[in-house]
Amino acid sequence: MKGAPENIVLEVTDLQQYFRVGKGILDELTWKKGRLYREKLWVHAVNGVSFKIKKGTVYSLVGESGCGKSTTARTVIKLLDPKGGRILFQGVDITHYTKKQMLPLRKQMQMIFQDPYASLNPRSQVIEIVRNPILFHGIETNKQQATELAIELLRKVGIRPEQASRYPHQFSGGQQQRIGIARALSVHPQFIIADEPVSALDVSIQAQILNLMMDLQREFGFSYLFIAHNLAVVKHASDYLGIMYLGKIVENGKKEHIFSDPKHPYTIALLNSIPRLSGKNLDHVQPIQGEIPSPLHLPKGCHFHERCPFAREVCREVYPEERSVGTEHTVCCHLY
Amino acid sequence: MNEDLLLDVRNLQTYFYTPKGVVKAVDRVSFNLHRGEVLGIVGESGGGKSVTGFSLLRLIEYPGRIVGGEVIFKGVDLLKKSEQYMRSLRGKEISMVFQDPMTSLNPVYTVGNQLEESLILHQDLTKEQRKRRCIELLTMVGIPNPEKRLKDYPHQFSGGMRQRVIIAIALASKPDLIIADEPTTALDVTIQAQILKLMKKLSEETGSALILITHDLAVISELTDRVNVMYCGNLVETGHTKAVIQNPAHPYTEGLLRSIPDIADTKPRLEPIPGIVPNMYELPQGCKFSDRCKYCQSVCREQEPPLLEVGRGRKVLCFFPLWKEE
Repeated sequence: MKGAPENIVLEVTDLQQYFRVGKGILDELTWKKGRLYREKLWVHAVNGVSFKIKKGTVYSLVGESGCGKSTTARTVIKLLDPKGGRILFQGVDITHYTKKQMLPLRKQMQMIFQDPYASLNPRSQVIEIVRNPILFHGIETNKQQATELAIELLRKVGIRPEQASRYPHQFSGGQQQRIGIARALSVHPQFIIADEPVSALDVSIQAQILNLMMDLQREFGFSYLFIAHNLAVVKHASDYLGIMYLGKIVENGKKEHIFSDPKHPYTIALLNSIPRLSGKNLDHVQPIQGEIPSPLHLPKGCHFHERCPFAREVCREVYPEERSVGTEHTVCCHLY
Repeated sequence: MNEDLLLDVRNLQTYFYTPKGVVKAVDRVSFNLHRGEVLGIVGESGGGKSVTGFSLLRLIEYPGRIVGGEVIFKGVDLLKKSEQYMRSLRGKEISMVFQDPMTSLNPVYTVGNQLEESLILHQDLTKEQRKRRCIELLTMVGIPNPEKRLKDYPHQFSGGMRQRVIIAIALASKPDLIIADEPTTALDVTIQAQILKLMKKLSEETGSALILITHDLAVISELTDRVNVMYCGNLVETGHTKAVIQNPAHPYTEGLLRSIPDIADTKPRLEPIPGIVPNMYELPQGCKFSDRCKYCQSVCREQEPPLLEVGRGRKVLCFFPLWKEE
């Protein structure tokens, strides 16, 4: 069923994640046919997501807000406990690992967050922020050597040594993101999750950070799980793509295949909606109507059918199976 | 005087007097706008594009002050008028669409109330006429079941729908000019496409001029006729959108264009602009972009660059423009 497992950093099968909503019993009471019912409400954030990340590659999950891409990321590194499915990290099943069992694995998987300022401790000097994980995970045991390593890493991401004793608020957004990257690198991880790492930054800075992330990947050979809503950003950064819609991956494949030959109507719509520098793209395409349905009450059948211009009877009834439409290119749609 | 000219901004200066020093958020900016035209203002955060938009309506709060220049709207200099005059103008002849659709509606009034408010203030209509106009406006911006939705509160609308309501409010009094400050930045890309298309259609149908403020050059390219590029409070380049995007004349415009990941583009690496936007309290001497400019020469660091006319309707604030009309 799968290739050489040592080539796969992360394999996720049928991942499920959902959250209870409503704080008290009153939120859950509803009238139905003259009777009072208590109905538990769940947000179905991730509804059976499967994908694999090969060693040394960049896999991107792309979708609009509320599609469950960030929840997927947080679940696969067990910041949240999965409600179903299986997570294999380097061949080891970590689905039911406890926090304590995860601890030695933490240095192999790191995360870069969306908001660079909120993800750095405002009361720590930058050098401490980068040095602490080195000492904690025992990469270096000697404080002097750990400091040297931290300064080396900061230099690599473009922070000068004399800036190392400053505090996070003294840096610009782009520099803060660089510090976040240095911190993630400090424990020599093999796998980095980047959750919208550039969406809070200005365009000229976005390009700097994206280039930096790609250079570091080439140098250290780790793998990325990249979370983004901007397909243009993803196009420059990834090898493989998964397009998510309402908690499911609707199309999965190599970047070149998805951009040159998108199959799922949602992928096509997403590509068509992007404003282009050449202009006049929006003149010719009809944007898809409507908005993403509520994850509280998932639609029956294909999640996209309410907005899909090609929806047929079967789409309203049955969720489409994943089918192959080319080498390493799969799509969940009844059209194929 | 040109009949067609709607707005003429000359040497606009908006400064913020903070305890740390004076921030020249908008520094001697001049541009004009014709009736029915769509003008884009583009730049990164801190470029002064939003402050320019707010200055046109004189919505600058302490410690900010408009210290110089003229904003001539339909032949009248708004900077010389009373606050009362401005109040009668805002929302009637010039209206504004803000970035965040979550916070620009009042949560405790129904959408109908808020839409009607603008009609009560600026138009002499009976209650019945107002209701009909409200329904008409919501239909225009593509909200289904308008009659029913008028009684709903903002939280019952999604982000995209709220932005449609705000556009309806902006259009209520058939303004001559709409200023839209990052109207789609908070929205998802499929919703952004819907709203941009709607704004374009409405500005064509109603003949209102539109100033679109955004950081996204691709949005500018899709929607606008002309564009102003701003950097650190200066207007560094202005011209017809197509011409500016095809042949940028200012190094900053060129840098911005190269650093954007465009979907149609296949180059494997982006070319970022080196460095960061300078601190507004410690701007470099001479040209404010000199620190980051790859064409920078010694004169750029010593003197302020001139505003050169390099083509028809094309101006650039640079000693060595990258493009000139033959």
